[in-house]
Amino acid sequence: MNETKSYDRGYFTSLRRFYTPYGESRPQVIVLSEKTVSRRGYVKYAGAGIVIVAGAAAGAYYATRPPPTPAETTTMATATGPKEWSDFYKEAAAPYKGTKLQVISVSGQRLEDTLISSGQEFEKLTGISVEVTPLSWDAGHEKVVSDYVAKAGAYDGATIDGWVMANFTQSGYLVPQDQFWNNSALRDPNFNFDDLVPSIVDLNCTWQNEWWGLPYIGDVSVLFYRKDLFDKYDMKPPETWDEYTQTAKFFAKDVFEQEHVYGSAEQLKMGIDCPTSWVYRYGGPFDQYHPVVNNKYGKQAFQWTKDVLPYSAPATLEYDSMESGDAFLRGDVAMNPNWGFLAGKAVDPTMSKIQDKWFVAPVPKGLEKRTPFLGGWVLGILPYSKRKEAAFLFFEYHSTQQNQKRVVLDPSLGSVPTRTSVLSDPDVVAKFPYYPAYVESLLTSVARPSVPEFLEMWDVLSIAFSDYLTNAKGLDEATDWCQAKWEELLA
Amino acid sequence: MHIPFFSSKRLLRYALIAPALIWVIVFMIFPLIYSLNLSFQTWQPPEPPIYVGLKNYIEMLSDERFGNALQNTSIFTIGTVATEMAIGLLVALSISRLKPRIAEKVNVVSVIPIVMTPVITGILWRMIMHGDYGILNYYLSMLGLGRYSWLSDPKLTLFSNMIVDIWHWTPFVALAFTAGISAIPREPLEAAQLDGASYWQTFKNIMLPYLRTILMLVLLLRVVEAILFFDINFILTKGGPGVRSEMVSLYVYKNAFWFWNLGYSSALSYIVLIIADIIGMALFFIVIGRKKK
Amino acid sequence: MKTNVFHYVVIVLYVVAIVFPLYWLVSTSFKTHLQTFAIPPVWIFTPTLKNYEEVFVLRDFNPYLLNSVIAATISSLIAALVASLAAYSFSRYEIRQSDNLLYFLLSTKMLPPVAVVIPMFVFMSTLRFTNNVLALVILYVAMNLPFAVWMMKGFFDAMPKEPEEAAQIDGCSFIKTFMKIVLPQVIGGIFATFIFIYIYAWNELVFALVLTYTNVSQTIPVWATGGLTTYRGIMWGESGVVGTITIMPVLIFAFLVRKHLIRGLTFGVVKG
Repeated sequence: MNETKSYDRGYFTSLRRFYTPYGESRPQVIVLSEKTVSRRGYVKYAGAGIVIVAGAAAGAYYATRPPPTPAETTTMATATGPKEWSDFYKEAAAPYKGTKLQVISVSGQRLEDTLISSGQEFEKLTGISVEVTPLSWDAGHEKVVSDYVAKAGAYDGATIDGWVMANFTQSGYLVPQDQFWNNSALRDPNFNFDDLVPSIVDLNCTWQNEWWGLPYIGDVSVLFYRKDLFDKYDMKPPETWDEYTQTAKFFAKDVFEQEHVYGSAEQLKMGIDCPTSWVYRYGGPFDQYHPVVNNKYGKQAFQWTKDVLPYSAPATLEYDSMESGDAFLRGDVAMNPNWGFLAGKAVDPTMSKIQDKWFVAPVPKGLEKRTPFLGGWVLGILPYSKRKEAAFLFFEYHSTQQNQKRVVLDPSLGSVPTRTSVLSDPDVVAKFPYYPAYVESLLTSVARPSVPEFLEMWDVLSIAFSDYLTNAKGLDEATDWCQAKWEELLA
Repeated sequence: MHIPFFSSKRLLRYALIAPALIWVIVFMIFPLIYSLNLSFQTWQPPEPPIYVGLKNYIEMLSDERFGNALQNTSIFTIGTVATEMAIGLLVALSISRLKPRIAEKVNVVSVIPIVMTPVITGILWRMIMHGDYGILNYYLSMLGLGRYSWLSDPKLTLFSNMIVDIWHWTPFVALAFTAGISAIPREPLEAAQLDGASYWQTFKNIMLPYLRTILMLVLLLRVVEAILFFDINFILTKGGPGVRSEMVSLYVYKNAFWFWNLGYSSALSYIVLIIADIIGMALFFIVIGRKKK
Repeated sequence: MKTNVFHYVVIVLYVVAIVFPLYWLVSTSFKTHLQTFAIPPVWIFTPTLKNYEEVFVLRDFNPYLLNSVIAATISSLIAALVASLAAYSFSRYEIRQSDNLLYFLLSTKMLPPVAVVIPMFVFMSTLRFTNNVLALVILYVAMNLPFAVWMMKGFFDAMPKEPEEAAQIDGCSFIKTFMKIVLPQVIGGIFATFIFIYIYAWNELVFALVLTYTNVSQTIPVWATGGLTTYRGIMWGESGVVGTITIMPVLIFAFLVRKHLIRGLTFGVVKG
C-alpha cells in the first residue's frame, strides 16, 4: 500500500520515483478509465504523433514548393521535310521541358480561355505546362504588385491591362523584354513585328522604346447595335451623341410596346469600367499626360451619359463592360458601346441570342470628333520568376500569326487579334465582317493617360462620375472635385 | 501551500502556458508593434520606406474617404446591432414558448447562418440581390413592392450589407438569448403570472434583469464584430458604388494592397484597432468584470 | 405563459428566412445554366450534375479544396493541443497575473485581421515564406489560440478537481494524471474546441487573400472571391456548387457541437 506523500513533491522527484527500480511499490492511481498506458507507451504515442504532424507538414511544404526546373535537355529532333513554323518553338523550348508556368490571366470577357487554349497547344508541342489563374481586374493587378513586393516569384507572367503599363514599367513590376528578343535562342525568326497593329504596340507594349510586353489583346470602343431593328425602322447608327440619346429614347419609349427593347446599356458600374463611357464621349483633343475633366468636352461627356440614362436598361448602373455586353446579347437593348471583343461572344450561339442580328459602327462623334477608347492587354513577365525564358517562349508562341488566327477562328473562343494580317485575313473577315471598319477605329482611337498615377485618377473619376449619375453631386461640383483631386495626384 | 518560486512544479505550470503565449505574442502582437513602426513611415513600393513621423496620422484627419468609411461603419454598426438585438430577443422569446423538442430543432437551424463561410454568404446574397435575376427583386415585384438595385443604388448598398449581416448574426443573438431565458428561474415568472401581470410587465421587471449579462455580452461581441466587418463587404459590393458602402476594414485593405500605401494603411489600421479595442474592452469590463470565473 | 399564434408566426418566418437561402444555394448547384437565372425562378426541375463536373474537372477546384483542408486540419490540431495544455495550467494552477494574461489573450479577438495582415505580409515577404500553406497554418494557430484557450479553460473549470488531487497525493506525475484522468473526461471538450477552431480556420479569408498566390496555397474562400466570375458573368451554378461544398463540412461540424455552440461563441459566459 501507499505511504502518504506530501503535496510538495516536485515534478521531477516524482519522476525519479517512477524510475526507482525494484522494491518500491508503484503508486496506486485512481483509474477512471480502463485504459492504462505505460510510460514507454506515451513516449511511443508522442513520438508517433510528432512524426505524423511533422511528416504532414513536410509533405505539405514539399507539395507546395515550386518544382525545380530540370536541367535535362532532349535531343533535338532532326527535321525532315519543310520546317513548320512551330518547329522553332519545339526546339527553343527543349531545355525547359517539364517546367510549369504560372500565369495570371484577367478573367471575364473570355480572355482567359484563349490563353488556356494556347497553353494547351503549347504543352502538346513543347512539354512545358501552363497553369492559367483567372483573376478579376483588381485581384490580378494586386497580385502582380504583391508578387513584386513580397519577392514571391509565385507567378511567371501576367496579362496586364495597358492602362497600368506606364505605372508598372516604371515601378519595376515587369521585366523589360528586349533581353529576350536579342537572344537568338528565344527569338522566333518568323515573328513578324511589322504585322502588329502599330497603335497598340505604341500604346501598350513599348515604353520609351523598350519592349515590355507582347500584345495580347488590342481593343477599341465600338458601337454594337441591333441591325435588324435599325433596318426595320429604317434607321442608321447614330452619328453624334445627341442622336444616340434620341435613338435610345425611340426604342425605350416609342416602340417599347412592340419590341421590348431598351435604348442602350453601358458599363456604368463604379469601378475601373465606367470612365470608359466618359472617354468615348469626350470628342475632343485628349491630353495623355495631363487630362482635364472639367473642360467643355469633359462636362459634355458627363451630361450626355446622364441624358441617356432614362432610356437605358434599368440596371445599367450595375453593369461592368461584360454585363452590359451580356444585356445586349440577351436582346434586352438596342445599342451597346463596348469593347470590340464582344463580337467573338456575339457569334456564339450559347452566349448570344442575337447571333445574326447585330452589327458594328464606330462610336458617335463628340463635340469635335470621335474618340473611341483604345485599350488592350499585354503579356508581361514578372521580375522574380524563375522561369522567365519559358514564359517568354509561351507568350511569343501565343502571339504568332498562326496561333492568333487559330484562336480567333475557334468557335468556342473569341478574341481580338493584334495583327493586321489576321484582321484582314479572308477567313477571319468572313466570320467577322465588320473587321475592316474596326481596324479604322483602331487607327483613330484615343489613348488613356500615360501617367503612373493613372489608376488612382481613374478611381477618382469613377467616383465623381458615379456621384453625378446618381444625382449625389451636380455637374460642376462633380467635375471640379474630380479635377481638383487629379491636380493633387499629378502634382 | 507554499511552493518555492523556482521549484519544478512552478516550472511546469509556466511551461504549459508558454507555447500558447509565445505563439500569440510572436504572431499577433509583434506584427502590431511592427505595424506601429510602419505607421510612422511612408512606404510605397517600389520606393524604399522613409520615416516621416506623425505625418500619416495628421493626414488621416483630413482624409475624407476615411471619414466616409468611419461614418458608414458607424451607421452599419448601430443599425445592425440594434436590429439584431431586437429581432433576436423577439425570436428567443418565441422559442422559449415552444416545446423543448421543437425548440431544439429550431436552435439547430439557427446554427446555419452563423457558421456558413462569410465568403459564401456574400456570394449567395449577391446572387439573391442581383438587380435583374435575383429572387429578392422577383418576389418584391410580385408583392407589388417594386424592384430595387440592391447592390448598385448608392442609397441602398449600405442597407444591403446590413441585411446580409443581420441574416448572418441574428440567429446567434437568438440562441444566446434563448439560453439566457431558459436560465431564468421559474418561480418569479410563475408568481408574476399568478399575480396577473401583463406580458410587458413581466418582461421588463423580471426577465430583463436576468438577461442583463447576456445582453451586454452579446452587445459587446456584435459591436466589435461589426466594426471589423470585412469578408461580406468585400464580396457583396467591394465598397459599393463610389464609396457608399466602404467600411473601415475595407478601406484599410484597399489602401494597403491596391494603392500600396503601406505606411499610411498601417496608421489607419492602428486607429481602427484602437477604436475597436477601446469599445470592446470597455464593454467587456462592464459585462464580465474582473472576477475569476 | 401560453404560446399563441404570434409566436408561431415569428418562428416560422425566422426558420424560413434562414433555410430558404441555404436551400436556394444548394438547389442552384443542381440547375442548368439557363435555369439558374431564369425568371420566374424554377422550383421543380430535374437535377443535373453538370455544375459539379464543371467545377471539379474543368475549373480545377481540387487544389484549393486540398489547401483548405490542410490548413484547417493541421492548424486546428496544433492549436487544440497547445491550448489544452495552457488552459489546463490556467485552470488548475495558480499563475501570476493569470487574469491579465487571459484578458490579454481575449483582446486579440478584437484585432482587425487587416491590421495584422499588413505587417505579416511584409514579414513573410522578407522571409520569402509567401505562397505557402504552412504560413497559413502558423497564422491560423495564432489566430485561434486565444479562443481555444478560453474554451478549454471553461471545460477544465467544469471538471472536478478531486481525482487529480488524489492522484497527485498518491504521487502521480503530471503526465500520468493528465493522460489517465484528465484526458478521458475532457476529450469531448477538446473535440468541441477542435471543431470550433476548424470552422474559424476554414472560413478565414483575409490572411489567405493576402499571403497566397496560386493554387499551390490558396484556400477556397480566396478562390471564391475571384474564380467565380468568368466570361459568362457570375457563374451561378458553379457558385452554388462551391458554396455547397464549402459549407457542408462546416455545417456538419457545427451540428456535432451544437450543444457547445453558444458557450463557445460567448466565451463560456453563457452556458447553453
